[in-house]
Amino acid sequence: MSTLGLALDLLLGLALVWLAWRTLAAPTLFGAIVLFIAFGLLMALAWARLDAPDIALAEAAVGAGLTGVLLLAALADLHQGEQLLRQREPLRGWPLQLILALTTLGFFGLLMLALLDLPSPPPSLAEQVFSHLDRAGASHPVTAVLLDFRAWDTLLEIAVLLLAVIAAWSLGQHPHPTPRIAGREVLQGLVRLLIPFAVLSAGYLVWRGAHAPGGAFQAGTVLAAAGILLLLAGLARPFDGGHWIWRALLASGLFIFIAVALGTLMFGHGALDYPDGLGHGLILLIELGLTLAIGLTFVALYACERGEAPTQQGGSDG
Amino acid sequence: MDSALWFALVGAALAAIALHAFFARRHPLRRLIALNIMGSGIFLVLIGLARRYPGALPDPVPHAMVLTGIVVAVSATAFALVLLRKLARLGRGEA
Repeated sequence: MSTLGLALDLLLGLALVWLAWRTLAAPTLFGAIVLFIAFGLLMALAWARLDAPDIALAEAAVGAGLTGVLLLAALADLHQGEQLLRQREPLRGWPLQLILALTTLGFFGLLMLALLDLPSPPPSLAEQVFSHLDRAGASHPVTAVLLDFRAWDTLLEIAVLLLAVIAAWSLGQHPHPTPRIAGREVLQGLVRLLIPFAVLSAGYLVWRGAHAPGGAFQAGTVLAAAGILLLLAGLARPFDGGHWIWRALLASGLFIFIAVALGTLMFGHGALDYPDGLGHGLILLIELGLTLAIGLTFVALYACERGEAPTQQGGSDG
Repeated sequence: MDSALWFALVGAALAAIALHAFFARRHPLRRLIALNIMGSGIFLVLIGLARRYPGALPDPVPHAMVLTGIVVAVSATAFALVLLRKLARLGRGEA
C-alpha cells in the first residue's frame, strides 16, 4: 500500500470520527441530519477503501440517501407537534455524567484491546467460499454468499422488510410532507429525465450482481429513490396501501423466495440448494423479485396513504 | 499498523461516541441517529477484520452480513420514524 493511500485512510478515519461527533453534538436537529448524510457519504468512501464495493454502493444509496430522506421527512412532520418530543435538557448531575463517560471509555478500551489482541492468522471463511464458488449460482462471492450459501439469511431479511411495512401501516397513514418548492416545473423536468436512467441503473445493478458488485439491495434502493423523487416532484401519488395489487407486489419478493425454497425442497436436495445448471436462473429470478419488493417497501415506508379515512376502523384488512 | 486495523479502530471509536450520545441525548430523533452511527461503527469493525489478510481478497461472509445489516438497520429506522411521527400526531391531538 502506498504512503498516499495510508495518508488517505488516516484522514478518512479522522474525518469520520470528527463528523460523527459533530453530528451527535449539532445544535439543531436539521443540522444533525445534514451532517449525518455527509457522514454516510464518507462511510461509502471508507467501504471503497476497504475493498467492499457492494457495501459502498449500498451505503451511498441507503445510509446516505434513503435514511437522510426518511429523517428529513420525519423532521418536517415533527416540527409542528413537539409537545411530546420536546427536547429536554441533557443528562443532569455530574455522577450520572461521570458514570456514562466511564462506561463509554471502558467500552472503547475493551473493544480496542479485543481488536489488537486478535489471533494473527485470522479465522476466515474466505477459502471455503472461494473453493465452492464454481458450483454456486453466482460468480461474485458476495452474491454467492447472500443468495446461495447463506440464502436463508436473505430470506429472513426480506421478511423483516415486509414486517416493517406491515408494522408501519398498522399505525395508520403517514402522508409525505408536500414540499413547497419554487420552480417546481424545473424539478419535474429533471425528474422526468432522471427516471429512465434510474430504472436502467437498477436493471444493470441486478444483472451485474451475479458476477460483479451490485445486486438486489442496491438496485431496489435506486428504484426506491426514483419513486420518492416522483412523489417529491408531485408527478405521482403515494400508492394506496389498501389496494390488493400493491400488497401483492410488496409481498412478491418474499413469496418468490419462498416458492423457490419450496420448489428446491420438493424437487432437489433441500430448500434453497439449487440444482446444477439452474442456480443462475433461480438467483436472477429471486433478485428481480427482491429488487421490485425492496424498492416498493422503501417508498411505502417513506409515505403511505390509504384509500379509506385515517381511522382505527381497519376492518378485515386491519 | 495496516489500514484494515485502523478502520476497525475507527469503527470502535464511532461506536463508543454514539453509545455516549445515545444515553446523553434525550430527543428520540437524536437517539435514532446515534443508533445508526453506532451500527456504522460496528459494520466498520466487521469489514476491517474481514480484510486482515494482506494482499488476499477480503472475506465475503462479513460483507454479506453487513449488507444484510444495513438493510435491516434502515427498515428499523424507518419503522422507528413512523412511530415518532405517530407520537407527534398524538401530541398535536390528531388521530
